[in-house]
Amino acid sequence: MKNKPHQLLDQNYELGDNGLLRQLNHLRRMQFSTMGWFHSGPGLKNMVVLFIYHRLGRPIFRLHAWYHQQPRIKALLRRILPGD
Amino acid sequence: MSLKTFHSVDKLVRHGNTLLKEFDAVSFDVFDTLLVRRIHDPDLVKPPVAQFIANLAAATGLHLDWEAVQGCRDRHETTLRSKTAETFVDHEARYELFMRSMLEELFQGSEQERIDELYQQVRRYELKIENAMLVPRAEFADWLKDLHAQGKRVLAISDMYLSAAEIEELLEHAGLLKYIHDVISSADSFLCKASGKAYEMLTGKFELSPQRWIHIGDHPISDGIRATEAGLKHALVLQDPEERRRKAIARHYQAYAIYRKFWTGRTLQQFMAPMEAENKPYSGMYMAGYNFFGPLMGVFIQSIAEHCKKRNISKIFFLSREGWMFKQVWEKVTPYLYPGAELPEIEYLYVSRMALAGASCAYKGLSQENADIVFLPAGNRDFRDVCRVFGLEIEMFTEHLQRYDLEADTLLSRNYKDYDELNRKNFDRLLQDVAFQSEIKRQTRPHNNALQRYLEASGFFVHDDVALVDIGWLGTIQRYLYSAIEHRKDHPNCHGLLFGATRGIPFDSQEKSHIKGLIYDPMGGDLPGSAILYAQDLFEEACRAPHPTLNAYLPDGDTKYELQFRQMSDAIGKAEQEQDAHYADLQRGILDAADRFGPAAAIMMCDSSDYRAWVNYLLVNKLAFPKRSEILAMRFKHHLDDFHGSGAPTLRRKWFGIFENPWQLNGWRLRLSSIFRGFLYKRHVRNISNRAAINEE
Repeated sequence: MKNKPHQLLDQNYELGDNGLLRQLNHLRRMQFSTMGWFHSGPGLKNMVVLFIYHRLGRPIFRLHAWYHQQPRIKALLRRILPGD
Repeated sequence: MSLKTFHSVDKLVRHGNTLLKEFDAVSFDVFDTLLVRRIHDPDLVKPPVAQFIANLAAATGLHLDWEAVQGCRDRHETTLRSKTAETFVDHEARYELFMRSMLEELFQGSEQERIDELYQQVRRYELKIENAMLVPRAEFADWLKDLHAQGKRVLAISDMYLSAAEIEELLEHAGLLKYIHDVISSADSFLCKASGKAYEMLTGKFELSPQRWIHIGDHPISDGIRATEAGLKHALVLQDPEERRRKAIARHYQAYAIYRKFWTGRTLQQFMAPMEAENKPYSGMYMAGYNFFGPLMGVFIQSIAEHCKKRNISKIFFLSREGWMFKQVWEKVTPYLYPGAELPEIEYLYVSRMALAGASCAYKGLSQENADIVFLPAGNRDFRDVCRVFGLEIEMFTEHLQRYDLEADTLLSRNYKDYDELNRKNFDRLLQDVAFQSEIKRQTRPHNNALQRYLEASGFFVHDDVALVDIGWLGTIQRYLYSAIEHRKDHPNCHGLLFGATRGIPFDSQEKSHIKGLIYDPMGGDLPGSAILYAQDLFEEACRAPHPTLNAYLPDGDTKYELQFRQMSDAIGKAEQEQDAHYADLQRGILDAADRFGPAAAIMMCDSSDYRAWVNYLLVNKLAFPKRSEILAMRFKHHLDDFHGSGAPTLRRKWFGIFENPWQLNGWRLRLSSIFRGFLYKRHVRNISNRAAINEE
């Protein structure tokens, strides 16, 4: 928590003073020491998916939105890629 | 006719402003355009409403679970939609119609007036939850204001089962209704934008010229294609990828929370998070109050309510001064979490260790246990501290002390270098002296009488079971309070519900007086919760009340009482006021978090135990592994504890102090200690385990 003002939910939709990296650190500590009871913990797979949404989601979702506005590219991909 | 899609509100508004001269009327879609939801799925609002209806049914002796109520609602809505489809193209439903028919089925035999009353209650609660979850889009709110100022006709159109009257209430709560001329809902006319019929109807009803009318929404068909098919010159569709990302994140948290309880609390915080104009920069203190203390207190309050419901406790006393904050949080959270349910009465009780200590000795005298508690704080050293704590006149005890080879300033605390065990043994023998105890009882009886009058006026003795809510830590207040009233036949069962019960001195649990730590209790083998021990005082400061501490209960004549509060004009009083200012932001954060905790927790439909894993994570991370900046920002400047004396015990720092509690370090020691957080936590775990093993023996 820095002394300059910060948003409660940052631009990556993480809690301002309790972001994903802090949870990853906690997961790391849980592997090597007795930390206590946290039910089944955060889970590495869940953390990876959430990391992608939080940290990489902005470009991915923008690309997705842009792609759906490109009918020619969609038609081309439909022809190239195997599918139903 | 132009249909344009935009990926940001900013670009849409800019484009809209270039078209200002081309339109007189502008219509907006409401949900996901003007208003966005904190939650990803609008149907999440329905289960808490179903639970509310189940609570209302339970009050009449009808036992239903919320799933059955929800099933009934869905059935009635589907039936209505099928019926509407016989006459209209759109399969629309109206909230009032299907909710009334559902209530008539559930509360069969009730009179129409009763159904009306139930419907109004349910409607009010559902709109309350919706309002809590809806946030106006900041840029659209500003644009609405501009459009209204420029004399444009502004309409809000929604395809929704809520009528225009309900949607108007939601828009009013969001502060947007004053800029909107008309609100139109498909629930009133059964004509939707989805089929295009709504546009045709509005053209006729409001005499709108489609060529001078633009529509803005988020659905490419309802708000885009259908609008242009109806002849509107411009249709602007917002497809915001950030909004989709936000909802996807919330959806994932909720999905993970189903099978990994660790994420339940995180999902709750996601639903509590501020959005749009609410999400402005705040100070670190406010952030700590909102993101750390607020959720902890919300879970604590929920645990209290669950505990009281299970044990039929009819009144809760929030004990000063920390109880002030707990009471505020209770008043904000419970209307959302337990609507329609019978909850205990609540009252704020002015107590303190200093005021109760003397009153507790009036009938049983000064017990060994209570005397030992006096010497727990390192600043208390001799019999003068005993007199200060119990409000005794020291001169009356000189003779008694001399009989046991003691003086008023004989060292009795083990924390000091010249401590002699013999003196302490003599003091323990003095405690068995009948004359000594008689003098104590004589001096403290007036305070006890005043306390009893105060408790009678507060309705303390009217209930069979009362809950005493306090921050913690040894349960000393409850210990003293119970000693003071134990002699009365009408005293209630006292259920002490503490934020954290450290059990440093065993609490002699009796049938009629016991304590339980709801966030931390070593009796439950609670290791992460023990992180509270790193910074207990921080929690006391976070919960500070805007009034001074109580010094004593004084008799006022034969039948009345007076509460004597500490004067604030001395140096300590001024330091207290400085502390108030220092923690004002943090407390504001806690109260704002409480406002959002209630509706978010209502939507989560979880017990307090479901948040346990996340609460444990918050405690360990924030207290055992804090950042240096967090310690510097949150640590208190002064901490008033009248119980503590002014003695200076002889303590030695080991290893230059870097292996001490980081919350008590400064300067280079604090910087260096950040490397050893893990080591310190391991040592803490070892100490807790050893203490637990000793207690078991």
